Amino acid sequence: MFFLLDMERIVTLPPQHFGSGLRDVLHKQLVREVEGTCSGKHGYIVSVTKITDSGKGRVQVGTGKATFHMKYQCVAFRPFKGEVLDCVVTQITKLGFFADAGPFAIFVSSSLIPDDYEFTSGDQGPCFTSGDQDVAIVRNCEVRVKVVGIRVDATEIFGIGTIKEDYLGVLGGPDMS
Amino acid sequence: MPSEQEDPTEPSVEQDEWFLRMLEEELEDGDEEEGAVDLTGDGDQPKRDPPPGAPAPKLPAEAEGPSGEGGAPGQGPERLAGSTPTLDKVRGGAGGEQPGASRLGQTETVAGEVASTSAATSSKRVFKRPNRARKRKAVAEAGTPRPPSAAIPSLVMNDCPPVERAASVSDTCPPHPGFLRGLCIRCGELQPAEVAQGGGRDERQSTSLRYIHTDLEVNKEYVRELKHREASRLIAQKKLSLVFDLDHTLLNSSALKDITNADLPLLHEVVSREAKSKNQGPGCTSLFVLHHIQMWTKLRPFYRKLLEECSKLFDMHVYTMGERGYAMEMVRLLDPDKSFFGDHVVSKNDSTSNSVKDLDVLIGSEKSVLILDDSPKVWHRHRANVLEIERYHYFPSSLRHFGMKGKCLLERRNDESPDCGPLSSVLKILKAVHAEYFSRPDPEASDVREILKSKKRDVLIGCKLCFSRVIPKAEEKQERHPIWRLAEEFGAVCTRFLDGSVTHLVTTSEGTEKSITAAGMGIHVVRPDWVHASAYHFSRAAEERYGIRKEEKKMRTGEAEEAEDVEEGEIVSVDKVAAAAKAN
Repeated sequence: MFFLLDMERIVTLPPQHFGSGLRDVLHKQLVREVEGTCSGKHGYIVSVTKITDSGKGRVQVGTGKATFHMKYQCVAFRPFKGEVLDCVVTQITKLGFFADAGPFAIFVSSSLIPDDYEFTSGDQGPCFTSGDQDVAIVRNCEVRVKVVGIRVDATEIFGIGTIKEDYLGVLGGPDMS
Repeated sequence: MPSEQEDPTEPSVEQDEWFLRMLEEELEDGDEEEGAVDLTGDGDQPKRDPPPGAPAPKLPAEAEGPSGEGGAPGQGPERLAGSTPTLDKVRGGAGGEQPGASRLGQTETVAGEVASTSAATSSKRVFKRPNRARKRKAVAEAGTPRPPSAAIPSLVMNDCPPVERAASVSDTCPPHPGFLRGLCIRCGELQPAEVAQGGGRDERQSTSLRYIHTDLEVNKEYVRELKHREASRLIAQKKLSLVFDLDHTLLNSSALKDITNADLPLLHEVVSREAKSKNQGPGCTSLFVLHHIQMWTKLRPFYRKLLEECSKLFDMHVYTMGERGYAMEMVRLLDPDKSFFGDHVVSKNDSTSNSVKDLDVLIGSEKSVLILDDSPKVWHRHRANVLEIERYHYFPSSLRHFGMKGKCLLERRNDESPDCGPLSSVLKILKAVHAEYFSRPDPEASDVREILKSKKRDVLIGCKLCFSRVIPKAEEKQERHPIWRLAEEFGAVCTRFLDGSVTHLVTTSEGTEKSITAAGMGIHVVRPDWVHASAYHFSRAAEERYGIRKEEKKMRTGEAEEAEDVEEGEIVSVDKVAAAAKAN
C-alpha cells in the first residue's frame, strides 16, 4: 500500500555549499538521503514529493557543518499481509519462485502455487507450467500475488506470497509488458 | 530566589530526577534527535527550585543560545535554533500547579507561539541537563534520527500485522515445510524464535538449501518429499541427475602466485595459440587468466561436448568444495549462458558440512544421482554413486598440491586428448548407465548404484591379480589396501599367492621374485597404474603399455604419469612431439 507521509529529517551540509544555491543543494541532499531507503515502520520511501520546510541552518561547533531540520512529504510503499500485488518474476527454483513488486521481494513456494502447476526446465530456462500447458510462469513474467506473510527488518522487508487463490496468477508474459 | 534564576540567559542545571524522567516520557513521542533541548519554565515553581548550589555551568552548545536581556525570551526565535525544535515547558500562574499539567510544546511549536507564551510568563528559566544534552547531540550526529510518529497519523497504528494473529493458510501448517528468512514458505508465519536461535535443534530437523537462497531452510521431511517429486519428474523426462565436481574434474586452476616465471611463457604460448585458432565460439578457449580472483584456469578438453551431451540425458549440478565466489566464476567459464547448470551450483558455503560432500542439499533421489568426482573419498555416504575420474593436472602447482612428482601437462606442452581423454570415456559410461536405467521396464525401481556397480564389475572380469611390492607386507589385512579394493570393485579376483590361475602380476619393480617367476610363466606383469587406467576408462587397459620395463625407462627420464604418456603416444601431433624432444 502506498502512503503519503509527512516526515522530518535532520540534514547536515558541509560549509562549501553555503551560499546562494544552498536550498537547492539541501533539497537534493535530502532526496538523495531519503529516497530508496527502507524502514520497517514506514516501508520503502519511494519519492519525496514536497519539501514543506527546510528549516534554518544551525552551525555545528567544531565541524563548521550546518544542520537543517527539514520537513517533507513523501510517498512510501509499505506492503502488508493480505495485500494483493502485481509483481515481476525474477527467479524460478524447484521450490518456488521469487518475484519483485518494486523493491519488495516475495517468494511464492511451490505449495502456494496451484497444484496442477509443474516445475519444468525447458529451453527458456526453468518454469512452472499449468496442467493444460496453457500458462507458464517464466522469468520476467507478471504475476498477481497475495501476500500471506511479511518479515519486517530494520532495513528490508521480505514476504511470502500465494497464487493459489481466485484471480491470482499470471497476468502476462515477459514480452507483453 | 537567587538572582540567577531571574536571568533567562543563564542556563542552569536541573537535577530533579523525576522531572527529567517525566520529560523523557513526554519526549518519547517527540523528537529524539534534538541537539539541544531547551527547557523553559518559570522559576517561581517552588517545588522545582533547583538545589542550592547548582550553579549554571555554561555548555559549549549554549554559546549559540539565547543571549537576550533578562525577561526577553521572545528573542528565542531569532536564534539559529530554528532548525532545532524547542521544547517549551510553560507553566502559567505561580505556584500551585503540578508539573503534570505542564504543556509540552512539541516540535511543531511555532516560534512565535513560543514567544507569546513565554512572554506571558513572568520569568523564565532555562533548564539544562548537560549529560542528557550531550547524549542527544551524539545521537543526532550519529545520523540516526527517528522521525516523530506524530507526523504520520496514517501509520501510527503501525499496522505491521502481528504475526501471531496470522491465520494459517494451510491446514497442515505447522509443521512448517520450511523457512525462508524466517518466514514459513507455506503459511507466511514467522519462524518461532526459539527455533531460529537454537541452531542445534534446528540442524537436525531441517536442511539449509543455501544455494537456492541464502536464508532458505527446509524441513527434512519436506526435502524428502521434494526429492521424491523431483525424481519422478526427471524420470518422466527420461533424465537422471548428475553432479560434477569442478577442480581436477572439469578444470584445473592455479593461483597467480603459484605460477613460476618459467611457466609464464608456456602459458602465454597456449593463450596466443588459442587466440589464433580458427574455431571461435563457446568452448574453444580453454585457458583463462582471471585477474580479479587471481587465478589461472584451464578447462579440461572435451568439457563442452561432455556438458552438451549430458544436458540431454541429465539434470546437471555442480558441487564443489571451493568458495562460492570461485565456484560462480568457474561456472561462468564453463557455462556462460547458464544453459547447463542454471542455479544448481553448490559450493562450500552452501554445503551442510565443511569437509564432506553430501547429497542432502540436492533435490533429487539418491537412486538416480550420478556423481563425477576425482576424489570419491569426500562422498562419505554416497560412494556408490560416484564415478571416479582421473585427476586433471594442468598446472605445476596442482601436482605439487597432491605431492606428486613429474611434469604436469603444461610443462609437457601437452593436454589431454579431446577425443579419447578421460572425459570422453566418462561420457560413454554415463550414456551406458543412462541407457540401462531406462531400458528397464520400471525405471522407478532401478538404481544407478546397482547399475554402476555391475558396470564396474565387468571391467576386469576374469582377471586374477597378484601384487608384488605394491602392498606393504607388514600390512595385516592386505584386502583393505585401496588398490586391492579397487581391483575387486572392478571385478578382478585378487590373491596373495602367485599360481597358475593368476593372469596379471601387479608390481612396481621388475626385480622381485614374483615378477621374475611371473615373467617366466607368461603372465602379464603390469604396473599398478594399469589397474587405475582400467578403472578410469572403464575398460581393460592394454597390458603392453603398462609393462614394467617401460616404466623403469620412463622413470629415468623423469616422467611418472604413465597413463597420460600413453595418450601422448597416441594423439600428440607431430610438432608437439618434436617440441618435447627438443625440450629433452
